[in-house]
Amino acid sequence: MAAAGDQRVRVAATALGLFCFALFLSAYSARRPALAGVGTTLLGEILRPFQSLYQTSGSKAVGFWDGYIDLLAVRQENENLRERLKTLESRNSELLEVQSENERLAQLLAIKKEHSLDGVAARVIGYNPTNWSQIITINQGSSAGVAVGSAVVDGFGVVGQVISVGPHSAQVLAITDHASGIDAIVQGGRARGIVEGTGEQRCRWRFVLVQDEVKIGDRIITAGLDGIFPKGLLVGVVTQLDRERDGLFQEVVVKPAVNLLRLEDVMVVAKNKLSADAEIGASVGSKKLAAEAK
Amino acid sequence: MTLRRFLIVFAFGLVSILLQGTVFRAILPWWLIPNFVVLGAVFLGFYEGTVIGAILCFILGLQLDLAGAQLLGPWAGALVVVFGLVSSMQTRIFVDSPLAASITVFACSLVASGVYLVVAYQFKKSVIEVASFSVSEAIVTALIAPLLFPLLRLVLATPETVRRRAPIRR
Repeated sequence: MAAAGDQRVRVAATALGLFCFALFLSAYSARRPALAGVGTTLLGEILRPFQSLYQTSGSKAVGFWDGYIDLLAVRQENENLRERLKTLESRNSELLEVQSENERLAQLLAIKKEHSLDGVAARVIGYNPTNWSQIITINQGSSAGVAVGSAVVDGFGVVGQVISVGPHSAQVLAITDHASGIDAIVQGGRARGIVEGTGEQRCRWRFVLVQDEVKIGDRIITAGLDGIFPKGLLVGVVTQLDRERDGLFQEVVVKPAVNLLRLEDVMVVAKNKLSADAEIGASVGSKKLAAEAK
Repeated sequence: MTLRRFLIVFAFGLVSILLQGTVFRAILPWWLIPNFVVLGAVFLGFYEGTVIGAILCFILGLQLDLAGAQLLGPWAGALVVVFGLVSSMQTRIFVDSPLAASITVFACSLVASGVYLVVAYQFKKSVIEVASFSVSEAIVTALIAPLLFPLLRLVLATPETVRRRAPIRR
């Protein structure tokens, strides 16, 4: 009985000690994000082969189930025909997949040409296991030139930015994550603010002045002055507007241009070109401000 | 033996993260994805109410933190708290009853989310905006608990830990 009591005390003391250590670790990693990055990279590299395997074999497995298992029940005389049908369906499914991939890559290529971007094509192989943050794992890492802080886009617009890089994989903070913030402007207008994630499939455009002209349906694009995202990439479309609030700013809800739940192919934009763009942009911006001040 | 258990729990954590983050996320809506790692922590609280069990829970939580790529510690702390609660009550709960297992897992999942929220909020205020996810996650995790506990008993429990709980079932 006494031994059981001792055991309970030991367990409670260990749990308390570990909890205190977890608090310390949280505080330490909040100040030094690189610490979390190292461990994440290691875990990402362990999981990457399995994630890639699932991504490549998942659609084949579904096709196998639909096309083969169902056929087991058919009559003998139809077997040959159905085998042929199965082969054709499988071929068709493969062709459709290739066509779909082709379309996605064409969109990526179009956005690459339109904005004169240099970058690396990557495939989404996983998402954050909890709903507390919107983080995406891609199958390209430092060996392909991906660096922390690189912008990630797809054929429709901005996906997010790289926050951690391993040799063959990287973690991308999606624009819908509550920790994400992008300097953005309205297309064809002067309104400017920060697009922040909400943790759901929509964003908030904050710090937009009440007197700025913004309408529902307006396209929000990157401002290009933050050194991460090139100017002119589509972030999303305004879906809600609240101008009645007291204070300096209006409340704007933005629907991301990208469907973050159905991402497959993305492009990681090379950082070196962006830094140059940001410098030019900042210089143009400061000249404009100086001119306005005059 | 301890190293073997450590490796088994580590592998369980990796498989859970793979299932939650890649497999289920591709085929299920977000509100239907359970948190297997919390389930593992509750199970360890029941069947491994020892110092080693507490350390194993900490490691499971740390894996979840690493997968999140932002803060190290909040999930580790949350799972240690869950472990402490369950291990302190393990002799009073008849875990073989599906209802008892579900209710315990539901409560523990909410506790884990609560502790995570409180700890993470100290460093990232915006985390409060996604707190509503925790309720659906707790419900789904609780619903699958009675199905997965027998499986976990095969994978995570040792004959010694099962024997230790045996008198309670009589």
